[in-house]
Amino acid sequence: MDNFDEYQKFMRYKYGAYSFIFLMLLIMINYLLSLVFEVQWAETKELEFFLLISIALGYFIVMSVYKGAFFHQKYTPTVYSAIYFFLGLMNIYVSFSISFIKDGRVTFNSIMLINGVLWFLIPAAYIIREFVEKRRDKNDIEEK
Amino acid sequence: MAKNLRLKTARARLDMSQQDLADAVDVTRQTISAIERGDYNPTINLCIRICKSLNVTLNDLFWEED
Amino acid sequence: MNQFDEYQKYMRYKYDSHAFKLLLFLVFINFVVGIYTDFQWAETSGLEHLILSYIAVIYTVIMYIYHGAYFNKKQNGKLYAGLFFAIGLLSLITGFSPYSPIIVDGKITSNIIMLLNGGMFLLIAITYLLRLYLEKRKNEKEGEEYYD
Repeated sequence: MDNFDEYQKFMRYKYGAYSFIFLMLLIMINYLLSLVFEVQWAETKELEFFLLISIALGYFIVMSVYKGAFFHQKYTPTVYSAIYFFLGLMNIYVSFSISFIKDGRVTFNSIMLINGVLWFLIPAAYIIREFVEKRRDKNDIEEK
Repeated sequence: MAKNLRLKTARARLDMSQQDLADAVDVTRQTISAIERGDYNPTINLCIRICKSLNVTLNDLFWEED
Repeated sequence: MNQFDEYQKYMRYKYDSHAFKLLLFLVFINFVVGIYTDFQWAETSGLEHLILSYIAVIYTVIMYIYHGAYFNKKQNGKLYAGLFFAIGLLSLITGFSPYSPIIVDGKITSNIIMLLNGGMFLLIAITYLLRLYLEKRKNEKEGEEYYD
């Protein structure tokens, strides 16, 4: 955590906390669904849990990037975003060649797709943030 | 939280961009932006570093406005 | 979150964030162990994950209490600690019934949930008392240093 400044640490803690609470909520709902309605929406329970974690992790990644708390001060966000963009795109492209839903349940083949989406979220959130900040700076200048 | 316009003015007076000030106090540009927008309350240590960089006192930048 | 002061909020965010990482780590270890050894330590895989989640929640609650971020200013910590101690003890006593075994065929059953609940409440009370004791000792020590 030493490479992050105090604001970045605070944001990471804040959205880490929200992700944890979100994950607990998802786990609770999933557990109740399987207990009461005997619903199983993925091949195995481990996969269900993994997918729920991915959702919470995705939320953390998006919010960290959007609040400028994902990349260290010393990193060049543009370069890393480009790398993650291609990694994500590659994973998503490969994952579409295999079926990830079988008999109405999500299969292990979805892991590649989830990986790809998580990588892809980083540059997507970064671009949106840059756009929002540019507009904000433009509005500030116009106000002056 | 209210915007910190005094910080923005003090920075502009020295012809410093947000990035220049961020580099001077070893934080990211987003942190300076968040402080100026009133979205983040910096710690006292960061407040002191900012004041030293801008050659002003804590009162000048961070005391309550009437 | 509005009833907590800024330090308490910060501590809560910090330890919730740590609990999130702890949970990811535990799930990863459990996943790797399961893949390589086919070992299942609870009745069902859903129960395994529930227990791991409980561990993360217990961690976060203990850290809240230890750093003074659990109770807000208006709450009487001692009263709640006493209450939680009683609830915890009762849950543990009920959980240890011979009619609801915790381990069957070497695997943990869902009867552990009552025990975990009881354990958590008890830990809240114990941690709170420990914190009070350590703070008292620190204040006494600082008082001695001041007068020396």
